[in-house]
Amino acid sequence: MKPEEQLVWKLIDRDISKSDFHKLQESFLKSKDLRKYYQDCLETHAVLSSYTRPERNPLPFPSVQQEKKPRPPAWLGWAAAVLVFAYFGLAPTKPSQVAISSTEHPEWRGTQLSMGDTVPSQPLYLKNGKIKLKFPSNTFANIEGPAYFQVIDDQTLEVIEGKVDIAHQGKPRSFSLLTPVGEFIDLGTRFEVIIKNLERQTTVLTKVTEGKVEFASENKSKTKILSEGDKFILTGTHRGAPAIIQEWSGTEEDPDLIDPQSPSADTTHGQNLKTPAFSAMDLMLQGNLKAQMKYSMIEAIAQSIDEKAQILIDAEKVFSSEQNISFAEAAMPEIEAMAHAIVEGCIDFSKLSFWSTCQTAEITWFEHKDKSGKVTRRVPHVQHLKIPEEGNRMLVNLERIKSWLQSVHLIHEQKGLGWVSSFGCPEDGKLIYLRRKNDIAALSDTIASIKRNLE
Amino acid sequence: MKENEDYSIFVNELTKAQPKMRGYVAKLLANSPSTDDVLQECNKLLWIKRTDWDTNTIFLKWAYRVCYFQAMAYCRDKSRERLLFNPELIEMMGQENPDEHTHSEREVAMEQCLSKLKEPNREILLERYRNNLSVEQMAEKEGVTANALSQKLLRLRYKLQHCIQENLKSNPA
Repeated sequence: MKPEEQLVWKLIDRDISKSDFHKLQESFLKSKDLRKYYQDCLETHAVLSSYTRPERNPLPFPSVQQEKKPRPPAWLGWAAAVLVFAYFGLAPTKPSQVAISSTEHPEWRGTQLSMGDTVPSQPLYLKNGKIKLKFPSNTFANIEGPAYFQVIDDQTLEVIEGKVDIAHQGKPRSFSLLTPVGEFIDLGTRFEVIIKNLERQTTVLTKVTEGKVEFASENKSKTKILSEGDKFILTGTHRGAPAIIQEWSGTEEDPDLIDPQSPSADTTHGQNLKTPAFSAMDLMLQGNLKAQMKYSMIEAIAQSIDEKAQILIDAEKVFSSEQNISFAEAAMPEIEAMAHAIVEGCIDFSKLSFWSTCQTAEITWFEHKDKSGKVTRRVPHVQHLKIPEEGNRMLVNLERIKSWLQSVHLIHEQKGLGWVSSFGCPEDGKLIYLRRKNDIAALSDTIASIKRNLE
Repeated sequence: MKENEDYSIFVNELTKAQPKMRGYVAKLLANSPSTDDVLQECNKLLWIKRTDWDTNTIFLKWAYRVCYFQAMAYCRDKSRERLLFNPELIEMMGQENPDEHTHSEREVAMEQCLSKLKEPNREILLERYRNNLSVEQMAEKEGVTANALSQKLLRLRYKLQHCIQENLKSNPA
């Protein structure tokens, strides 16, 4: 460790002498790398602090199943207080007919409301506990703290953060729920959303228990009907931006899915620790919207190729020939078409990253135990595999197609150039032979390129 | 409705930006205990100026500028504080924004690195943060001298920091 680096830690601890401080200051002025090191150490210091003292965690949104909710960090309270205070001082309030119909140990910050109170149309922060709002549209909204929300009017509730369960028994489209990624228009239903703001985006976990609900994003220009039993994760940055809608294959006991990397992976007693339904890829791409979109396209292409390849694989398993011909020979048109579509198609497969064409990592869990050895917290990590597995089978299928094509090519060499010509014409056969040879070379280059793309 | 929409976006962005803003302010103020107070002032100012923010621009960049001026104002007012950087250095550091990695990404990297430390070393390091004990108090508990423990903690944090950076490099933001 360099002496300056040692001083950086002393500065962070505020345990540095005046002379050392001046020395370090001079070094900072001269070295950009040292300033970068200082910044990085400060961030590590912040992570260590929040890790060991969750009440100081900058993103402490608790999991839905926690019994003991960690205290929000100091800044969150301040931010909320500033916002609530400032907004109340500036925003006009208007009377609403929305009332609090029941409460369960509510703890408010800013405006305090009680059972039976009419809810003003202004931002509210329910720090802890639960409340139930009754709207004139015959809608009930159960809100669980910590939650930021606002009753916009008698038919609209906006929730910026938190968990809300909506039961709408009124006319279809007479109630809507606004979230940071889009709007839910109730068509007569019961549904639940959990809204969580991550650093670069917001995720809305949605579960429709009864009936139907319409989700509208991009300022209502895009809509999707969600039906009973549907579970989706909606991801976006704001209501005017496109929202990514992914099916949520997890179960109700998967609160970790909302942000698998956050300390919300906590459970209080360990018994509720479940393995959430997400892959290492989800974890690797978390927070990177562009990479997620790119990968979802690659995954779709991989699935499409796999479907076609699987037909040939299944056929090969049951293949038998009375004319003593090989499978590659019998399936030659399909194999060649598939290979040609890959090397001459509209997609440049050689640009794909290695990790996007197979499984290069898996999820492992870092367990925290209390003094009695009971697991109190599990945090997922990406563990890189020494030997990659098939994953979405893109790479393995490309190699398989190449192998089939090589078999066909070998037969062609053995049977003479005229073999593939319907007229037995060597010139015809030669053209096909050369084209296939080019396809094999292109496929080999593509596969080699993918294997080199390790970023 | 437009006002509500903008308000919602603003609150969302401000909430998300807090860890990064705090890190930025802490850097400029040499991790002063007043960091949270200055951050609070920044939040207030951002709220007052919320209509100045163009929602098509990156919120954090704007927030960093507000934090920078607040930090400068703090240094001006508290010029007699013991550990304050000079304005030239604050300006230099103010132009260097924190990296793109999120708090969560750094935490994951840190946990992986923590797991590589030997159990007793990991415990010493976490204990330092867990109970906010002074090195002297910890040394007494461990039965070693404060200086030896201080050196050990320095080495452990250095090692951890190095590992985290390597880990983050292999998983770019």
